[in-house]
Amino acid sequence: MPFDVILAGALGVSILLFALAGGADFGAGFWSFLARRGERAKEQQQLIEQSIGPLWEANELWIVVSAVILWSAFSPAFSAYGTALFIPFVLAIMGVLLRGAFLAFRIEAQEEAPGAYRFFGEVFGTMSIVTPFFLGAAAGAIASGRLRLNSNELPIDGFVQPWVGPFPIMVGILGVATCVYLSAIYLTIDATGNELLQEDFRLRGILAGMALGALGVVAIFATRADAPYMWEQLYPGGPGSILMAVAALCLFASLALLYFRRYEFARAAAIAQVSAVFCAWAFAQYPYLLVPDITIQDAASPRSVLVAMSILIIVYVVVLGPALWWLFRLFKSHASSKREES
Amino acid sequence: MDNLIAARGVFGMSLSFHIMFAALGVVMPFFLLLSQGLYLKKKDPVYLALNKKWTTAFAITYAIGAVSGTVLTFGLGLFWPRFMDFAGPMIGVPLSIEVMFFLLEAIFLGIYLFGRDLLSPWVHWLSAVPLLVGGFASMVVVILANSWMNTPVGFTLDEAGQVADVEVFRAMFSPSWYAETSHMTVAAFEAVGFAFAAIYAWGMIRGRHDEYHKKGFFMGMIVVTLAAPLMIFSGDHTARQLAANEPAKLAAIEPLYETEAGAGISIGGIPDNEAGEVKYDIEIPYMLSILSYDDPNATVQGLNEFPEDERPNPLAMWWAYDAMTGIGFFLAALIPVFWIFYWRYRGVPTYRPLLYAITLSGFLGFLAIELGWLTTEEGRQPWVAQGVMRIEEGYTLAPGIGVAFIAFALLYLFLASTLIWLLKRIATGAPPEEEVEEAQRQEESEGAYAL
Ligand code: HDD
Ligand code: HEM
Ligand code: HEM
Repeated sequence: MPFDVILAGALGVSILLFALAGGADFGAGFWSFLARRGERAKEQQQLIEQSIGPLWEANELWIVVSAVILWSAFSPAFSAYGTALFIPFVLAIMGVLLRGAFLAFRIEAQEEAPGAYRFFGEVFGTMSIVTPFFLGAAAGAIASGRLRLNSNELPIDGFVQPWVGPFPIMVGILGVATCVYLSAIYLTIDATGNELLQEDFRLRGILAGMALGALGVVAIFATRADAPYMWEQLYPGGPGSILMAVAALCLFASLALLYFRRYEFARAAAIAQVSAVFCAWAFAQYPYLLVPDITIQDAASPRSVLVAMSILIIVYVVVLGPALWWLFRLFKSHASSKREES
Repeated sequence: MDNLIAARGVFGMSLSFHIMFAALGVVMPFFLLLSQGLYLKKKDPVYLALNKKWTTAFAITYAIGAVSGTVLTFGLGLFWPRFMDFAGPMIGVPLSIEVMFFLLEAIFLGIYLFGRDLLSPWVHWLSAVPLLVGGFASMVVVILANSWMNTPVGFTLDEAGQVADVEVFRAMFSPSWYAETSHMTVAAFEAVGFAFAAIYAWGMIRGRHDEYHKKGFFMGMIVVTLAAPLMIFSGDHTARQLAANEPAKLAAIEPLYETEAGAGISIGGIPDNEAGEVKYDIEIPYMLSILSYDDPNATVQGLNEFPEDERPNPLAMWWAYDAMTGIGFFLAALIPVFWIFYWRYRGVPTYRPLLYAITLSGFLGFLAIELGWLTTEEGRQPWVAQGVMRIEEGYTLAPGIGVAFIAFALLYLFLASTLIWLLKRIATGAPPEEEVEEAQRQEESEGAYAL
């Protein structure tokens, strides 16, 4: 069996799960950041906390899962990313550190200290924007072909050039926009029972979706200019472009569904949209882990490790699947049904 | 700043920061289970009040543990990419198992923290069991990775020096695995147990002699009564493991410069690398040979057995080792003293000097953990993987690591001070009487639960 491809698939799934979790905090940090004035700012803040409080730590770990799959099964790629993309990754993990800590501080500080509560929120919100941006930029650098290594495995163009370019920056911005869009839609469902709040996030979801669409169009040009390998697969009419078309349709559908207040369906469409973009990306990047120098096969660990890791992935699913199911059932279906009762 | 030094500094700093929360993450679920279990059995609202306080504190410390752990995960690739390139296949499997247990812990943490009003009391209690299992298992497994670095086995290299084949299980359970994991487990329980006792001892010193403080204090003391004496045996076992598998480390921590039959142990003193001897120390003859090999005349290898550029520097960690063992014996000695007072007071003693000593122990336990890791990690120098890869071959070649070091130092400082401020507020947030009453009220209004 091609264990290396299976593990690359598992790697992809864990990154997708991280993205679908809106970069761990369901992207809600951005909305929390904006919720300052207006009568409902406080309510919005509380909704956001309730909505992500029980879940963010589990969500956050999907990115850690990606990291361990990378270093166990494809250690040379992990090493190359860590060296060449040192700057964006360090900034991203600093963001992770502050974001999570200050979210937790904030939830616990609620009644204790209003001034601190506000300050903790500022840090949390800012870092929710910083983190997906730099992770996106790093991903953009990996896929663009801008990052070339010399024989010592150091980046030929230095440590800044690979990720400061139209395509990586665009992917960073898209990363933020995706989290923001997803979270607004998730929050419409969590706000069930509070019409006004739900309307707030409905409007935000529509705006964020439109922004995402506009950015997507700009990204087409950035891809053509700056990411030749991606473009080869994804250009309009190309082999991967069908997935992009599906994504565009899903985005449009999710906006329409939001407009008609069909929130559950809008959420499904948004998840489909992100998944489609992701599949298109994976399709375009295959078989490279670092375009165009490191392939999945180049980087794969000895077979015994690949087999052990593949078995472990199954154990992950068996052990964590039911636990996650319970977690989401408790807090996602329960929260809304409880509010409906009251 | 030199990039190698900065990379070591940033990583050591991050681990030293993380380990405190990791220890809390393993042992606090135990205290949560204990206090809530006692409450459910005895219906004494004091236990519920304690349980709630601890849950709040755990929510925060766990979060810091989780995010600082995420930093470490990426940190291995960011600061030690060439080491990970080499060692990833061997230590990656245990670390991947670790992450599974973390996920288990994180998922049930969400359930436990926010599920108090949604679940029936016993189901809520049960949901803390995976927290303990997840924390404990993840700690053991992550130390398997560290033990591989100390005693790397289970792989073959090809002519190019690349890893050709890996025996997954042998690499996971390298010779030092048992000594390290068991020692760290006991250490976590000892340090956190004393920290819990210390918090309430300090409260009692400040005049709070109520049930809330006494019960909190007593639960901590029960845990350390088991852990502290066990530590002496565990420490002894760990040192024997060094004699068998890591002789250079053992020689450096003693320090023993020349190979010797019937080697003694030196207590205190100052090692002099130039002269190759320890000055101003008290020597207990034959003790090192006895402790390492059960034979007063056994030969113990000194630093002179190893090439000059492969010797760990005793000055870097001999004091840490001595201090750790000193703390270990001090803490173990406190246990009988406590029980004598307990017997004389017919209950939790409020004798102030004893309470002061236990308050101090709350810090000493964590200090010993840090010192122990310093011993382990500095004692392995100059290797990142003992005998296989030197640290100069493992660190990152990216520039500006010094800047990252300073930035992380500031971040940890900022986080730690905010955390302490918040925990202090929570600790003194409400007088215990009110909390007990609130717990009582809550119990009365406990109504329908949805599972
Ligand atoms: C509460 C904390 C604590 C206490 C009281 C002690 N230790 Fe310890 N020690 C640790 C906490 C610790 C640790 C932090 O957990 C270490 C670091 C690596 C490890 O596995 O455990 C450690 C490492 C460590 C090592 C190095 C192991 C290696 O590199 O593989 C030795 C030889 C000892 N210890 C020996 C002792 C002795 C003889 C003690 C006397 C009672 C003692 N320790 C008390
Ligand atoms: C949490 C407990 C730990 C602490 C406090 C700790 C502390 C340290 C310190 C102080 C250093 C710098 C040593 C030096 O350069 O002189 C270091 C190095 C290192 N540690 Fe640990 N360590 C811990 C556990 C671990 C674990 C579990 C791993 C493996 C997964 C690990 C991997 C490393 C690596 C790769 C280095 C760099 C190489 C070296 O300097 O030898 N450490 N650690
Ligand atoms: C001896 C050293 C270590 C011990 C004992 C340890 C133990 C733990 C424990 C018990 C937790 C749970 C967090 C909590 O409950 O507060 C944790 C969290 C974490 N640790 Fe460590 N760890 C160590 C070193 C490392 C290293 C070297 C890494 C990275 C390679 C790492 C990665 C993580 C991650 C990613 C988390 C977050 C898990 C979560 O969100 O639940 N740890 N660690």
